[in-house]
Amino acid sequence: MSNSYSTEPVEAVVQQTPIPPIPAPRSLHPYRRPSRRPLQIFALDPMRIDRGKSGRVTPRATVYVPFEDDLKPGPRGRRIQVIDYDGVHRCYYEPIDLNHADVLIRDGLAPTETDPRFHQQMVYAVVAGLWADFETAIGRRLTLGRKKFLTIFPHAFYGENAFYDPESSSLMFGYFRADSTEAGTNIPGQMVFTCLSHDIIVHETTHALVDRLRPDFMIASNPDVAAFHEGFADLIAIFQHFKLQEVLVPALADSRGDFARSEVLLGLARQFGYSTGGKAALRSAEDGDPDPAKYRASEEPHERGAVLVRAVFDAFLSLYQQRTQDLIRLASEGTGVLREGALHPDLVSRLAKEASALANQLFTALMRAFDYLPPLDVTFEDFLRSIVTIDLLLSPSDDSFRVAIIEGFRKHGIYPTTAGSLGADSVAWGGPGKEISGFPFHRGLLTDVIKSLDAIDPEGYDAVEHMYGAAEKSASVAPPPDEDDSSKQWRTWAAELFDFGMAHRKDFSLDEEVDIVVEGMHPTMRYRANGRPTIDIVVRYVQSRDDLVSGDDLKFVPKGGCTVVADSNGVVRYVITKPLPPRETPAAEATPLAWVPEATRRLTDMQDRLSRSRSSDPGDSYRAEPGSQALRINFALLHSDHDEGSDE
Amino acid sequence: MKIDIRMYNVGFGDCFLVSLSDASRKRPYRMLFDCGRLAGSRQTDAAAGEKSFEAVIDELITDVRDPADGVSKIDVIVATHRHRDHIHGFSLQEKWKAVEVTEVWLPWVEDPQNPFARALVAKQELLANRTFHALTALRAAGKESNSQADAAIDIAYNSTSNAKAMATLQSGNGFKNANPRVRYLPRAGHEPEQLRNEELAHVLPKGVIVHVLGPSRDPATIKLLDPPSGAAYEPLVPAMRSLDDTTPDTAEVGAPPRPFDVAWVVDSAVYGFAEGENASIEKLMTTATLEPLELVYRLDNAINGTSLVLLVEVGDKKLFFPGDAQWGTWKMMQDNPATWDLLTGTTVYKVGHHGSHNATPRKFVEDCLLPDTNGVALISVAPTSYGGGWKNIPLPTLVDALRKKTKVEQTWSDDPKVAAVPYDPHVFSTTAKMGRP
Repeated sequence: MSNSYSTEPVEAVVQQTPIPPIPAPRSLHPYRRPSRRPLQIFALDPMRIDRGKSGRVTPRATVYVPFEDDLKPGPRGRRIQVIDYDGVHRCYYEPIDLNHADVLIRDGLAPTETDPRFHQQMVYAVVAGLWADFETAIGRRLTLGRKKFLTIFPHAFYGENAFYDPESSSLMFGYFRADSTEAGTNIPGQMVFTCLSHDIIVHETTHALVDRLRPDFMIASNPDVAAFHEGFADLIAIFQHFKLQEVLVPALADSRGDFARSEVLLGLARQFGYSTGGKAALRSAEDGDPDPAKYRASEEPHERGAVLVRAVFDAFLSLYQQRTQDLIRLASEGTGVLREGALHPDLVSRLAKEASALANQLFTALMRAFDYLPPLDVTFEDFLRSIVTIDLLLSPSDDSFRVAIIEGFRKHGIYPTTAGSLGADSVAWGGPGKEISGFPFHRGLLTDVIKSLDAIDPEGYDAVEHMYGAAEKSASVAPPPDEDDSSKQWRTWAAELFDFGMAHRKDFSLDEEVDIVVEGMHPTMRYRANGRPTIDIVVRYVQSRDDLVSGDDLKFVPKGGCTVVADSNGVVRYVITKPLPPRETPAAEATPLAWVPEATRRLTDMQDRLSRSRSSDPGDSYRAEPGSQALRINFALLHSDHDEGSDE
Repeated sequence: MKIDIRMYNVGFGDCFLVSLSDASRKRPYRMLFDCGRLAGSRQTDAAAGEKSFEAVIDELITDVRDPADGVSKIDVIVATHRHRDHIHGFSLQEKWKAVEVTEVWLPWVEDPQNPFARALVAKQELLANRTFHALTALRAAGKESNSQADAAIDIAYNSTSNAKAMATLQSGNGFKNANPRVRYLPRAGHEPEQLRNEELAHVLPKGVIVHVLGPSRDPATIKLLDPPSGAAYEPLVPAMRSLDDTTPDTAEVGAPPRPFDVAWVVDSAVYGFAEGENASIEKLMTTATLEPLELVYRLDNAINGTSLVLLVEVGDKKLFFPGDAQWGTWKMMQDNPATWDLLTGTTVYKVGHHGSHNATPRKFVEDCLLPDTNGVALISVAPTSYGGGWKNIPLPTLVDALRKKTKVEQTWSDDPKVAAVPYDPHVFSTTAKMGRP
């Protein structure tokens, strides 16, 4: 610190004392393992910096990722492995050894475009950092289960694209030579690396982590699903950037603290809007009122995803204003109008702190909302309801956050169609409507449950996210031979959850004739209003309906499902359903089931989308397996589509 | 009036001759719809009685000979769109020098006087070049065979300018007579376009009405014809970039640039993989060709969308030639009740885009096509030389649906239920009752 003072060492008074005897040799003190590893990255995409305007070097940042001491060259860790295989030139590039002393001592290699090892370091750092942030936000550890690794290929292919491939659980980054004529801000003919773009890495990693949390969101069964994937990934990319003080502080200083009218910050935010269309996504602040009709009108995933981005970003802007107006008044002698000229650095630093904290709060809320999302067929409305639900639980007395969220969504035409009002209580998910008891929760599992909540402990337990269905139940699928005790316990529990789900199919809007699958279950911890921690259990049930396959040559099986949230007393608090019509309309039923019309609508919409999705796929006939990919989201195509469209 | 339609077996491609005979003229009125063949179409099977592409064209030119003076004459040549499998025949320029052609009809996007159309075609051509070279370069670098990429290279090639064929059709000196009239349809401000007696008197018999149902000039529909730029692949295009009608020498195709100096390349052993791990990693990387592949499909779709879609109404008979129109065009027709009404009662249907998945709506088969033996659906296809071929061209479920509804003629079929396919000639004849207003 510049204002810290130093003291001259005081001359010691020398005393003549006898020299003590040398103690007997003993073992040395071990060093404490660091929990974090600092690594340098490019804070902004080096390819997209407007060099003429800024005249500066590309901003860098240092991020702190969980320390893995057994990290192998690559880097290849326990969950993330970077493999620099070039699919075009069919060769491997030299991997970085992050544990090499020369690398360790300088927080990893300094950012450079010319050394592939820095590229590997950067993708590893950004992915590992984001992953850790995801775990902190959702409050539990997240591994990939059977997939084990997320493999990153920083130079996978030649082309202006990057994508997540769920099949191989990998992120593929392309490189390409900038157009020799239209290079924009690039040097003509320069090699452009998508793996050096912070927002592209975050965007693609978010796809992977969302896929881990909700694998069925890969099926675009309604127009919101793919848009959710895209919009959500862009939001995470934006809020991750707001965490980088290296970017935020100078930008806020330049814009005199005013986000909404700040060219620089909105410009930045636009630049982060990797997939939802840089220019289009965050225009609302300067373009007047948002258009609520746009949401219903845009079917294209990026356009529609941009609506989600704007809705959340509008909430961000409004909250930022609320939370900084006192600072602005203080700094302006109560007038609220700042004087001309540069802001005081203290004010900038406070504003940056607020912006950062708010970005973090939003990030956490968006992540925690996942506990209340249905297992499939998600809509923006579901997302809104889930965010409000978790906010009501986490902060019952302060409603500013959820009010801003509801308002941000409403302005963009997203509101619950079934809720009676836009009050938070009616926007939040309601209870199951009747008492559903008997939820199997074993106190004996508590130790494992608590361990699974520990996101930091590398040995911490990952909640069982393996599918458990009739096959596992009947033991036709053998448990792994090396299963340990606690895994066995979780399997027993899975079996009980399976039985519970089977018994309550009717309550869960599922078909009573068809087997269900426990797609995942995990504990989630939150603090009650009285400040005490409590544990909820989240279970996802899914039902594949072979009987509803339409007669065509399509291999598309409609799925229904629900997310059930129960508390540790075994009381079911929420059942969030995505029903399909029951196999036979129960004639004996005195009153027809209330959810059947909704189920029928879902099925009709899905079948309609299915046939349209195939019709509009230009390559369907030429593919090796025509029709098999109908409605399955393909990020490789989605992204290339967009990039091309926006370079007009 | 007698109607004869001959489907020439050109392999994978289209070539249809419509002959209308009545008392008003000694020789029949002739309309030729397309004459092309895909580069990757299976080689001619002489043993099965098939003729080479050149021999087929010779036969066609003989078929249209006027007995009075021995000169081959075609009243109207309709080139539905610029794809090679529809117009490649016209690049054999010497052959057409012997034919008298009164009119050439092309989709409006080929109009050289229309700056918008010129820009659109140039953009499509640029993408064809870029993706062709990208795929070729990526494939060459990857070395292994990838039948899907091979096929896509041909589809890209199919989409290039086909300049020689277009010159025959548009230059004014491609045929025996100079300057046949070239129409670009539909004309601006004439949607829906109808060509009637007074306009067609010299080329078609009285009472024939030609309805032009596509390509649209509607901006929203045109947007679908405007493919992405594929700019990232420009550096892979060698300096000598024109593909025209000559198969390019793959040796001249540039390799993709290396991202790093070769000094950074290491043996996979450095990564210390477990047994078999690197093999599976390397196998993953068909990714390298994935994006240009998709761009090719979109380009193919865009050019198919430029197809001139004609419904020829001959008395009580309706002959429908939609070129390769795909979903966008069909949706427009389906959404317009007047158009749909026109299509209802189609006698002869040239099955769109060789029977692919989105070029014939089920609703059309069910609602519009005449049932039983009153009508016919004509499918001109052949196997392609790519490993596995295109299993869904024609789409089996579509062929089944067509068969249930009407008579189907196919130049080729691998369906065992279809008894020995008579290769040639495929002629459908019927008589139209004239006198409709």
